[in-house]
Amino acid sequence: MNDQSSTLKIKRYSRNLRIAMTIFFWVAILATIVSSIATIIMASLSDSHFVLNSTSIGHAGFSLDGLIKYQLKDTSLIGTNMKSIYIAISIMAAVISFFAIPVLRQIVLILKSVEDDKPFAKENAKRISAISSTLILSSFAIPATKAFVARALVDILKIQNVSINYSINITLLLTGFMMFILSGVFRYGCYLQQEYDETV
Amino acid sequence: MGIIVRLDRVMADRKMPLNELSERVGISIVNLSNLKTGKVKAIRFSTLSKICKELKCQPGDILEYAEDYDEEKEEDH
Repeated sequence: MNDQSSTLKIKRYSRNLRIAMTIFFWVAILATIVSSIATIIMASLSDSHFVLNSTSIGHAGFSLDGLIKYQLKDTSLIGTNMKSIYIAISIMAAVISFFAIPVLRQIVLILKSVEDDKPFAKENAKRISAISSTLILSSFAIPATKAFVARALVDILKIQNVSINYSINITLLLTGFMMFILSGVFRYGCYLQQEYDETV
Repeated sequence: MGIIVRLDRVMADRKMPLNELSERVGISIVNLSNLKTGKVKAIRFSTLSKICKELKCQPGDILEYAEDYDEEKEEDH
């Protein structure tokens, strides 16, 4: 009885989480499309649309590391062409949301299988393995796009005494390796489930 | 594996239909049918014990070992 109620609880959590993940999945698709279109549109627009003028100075700002916010209040920046910065930011947004799509899709399918009482299936081991590959790949690609944005900012805004540091995202990399181990655990769980199902 | 399940023979001897045995033993008709046709990989001692109790027989009456019996070939046919 206790097992049954905990199973029902897990199923309920899975359902709620799946709904949330499905929403995030569609948001990620939308974000990829929007940022890709934005990149193309910005690339085709003339440079005059991106030149900083006296009204935009003071309102615009950026944050490179999420900790320090830089305000563009320097009047010497008037006339600077921000096109490359905006394009770099939209490329970064497209890359990050693009990597989120397969991860979220696989999570939705795994949660669906939990709801259907079939968590230990070969497909789930493959899905976790796919998540692992995506995370490992993104641990290199996402910092690269961030470095690309930082390079554009430093070059265009002529920020002095700043160097761009590229380092892989250790958290994503370790999570990717953990998921790879988890896929092996699921493969073994699938074998045990099959043995259990074929025993009367 | 050279294990042959002779459940159908014992059931016929005791004139016990599949659904009745399924009810008495407490396992599904599908599982019992799979056991009868030798489609399962393993049988729990608890299940074997219940079947023996209901059919009033010994495990040896239900299970038989044949050295030259090839289960996979049997399933293919």
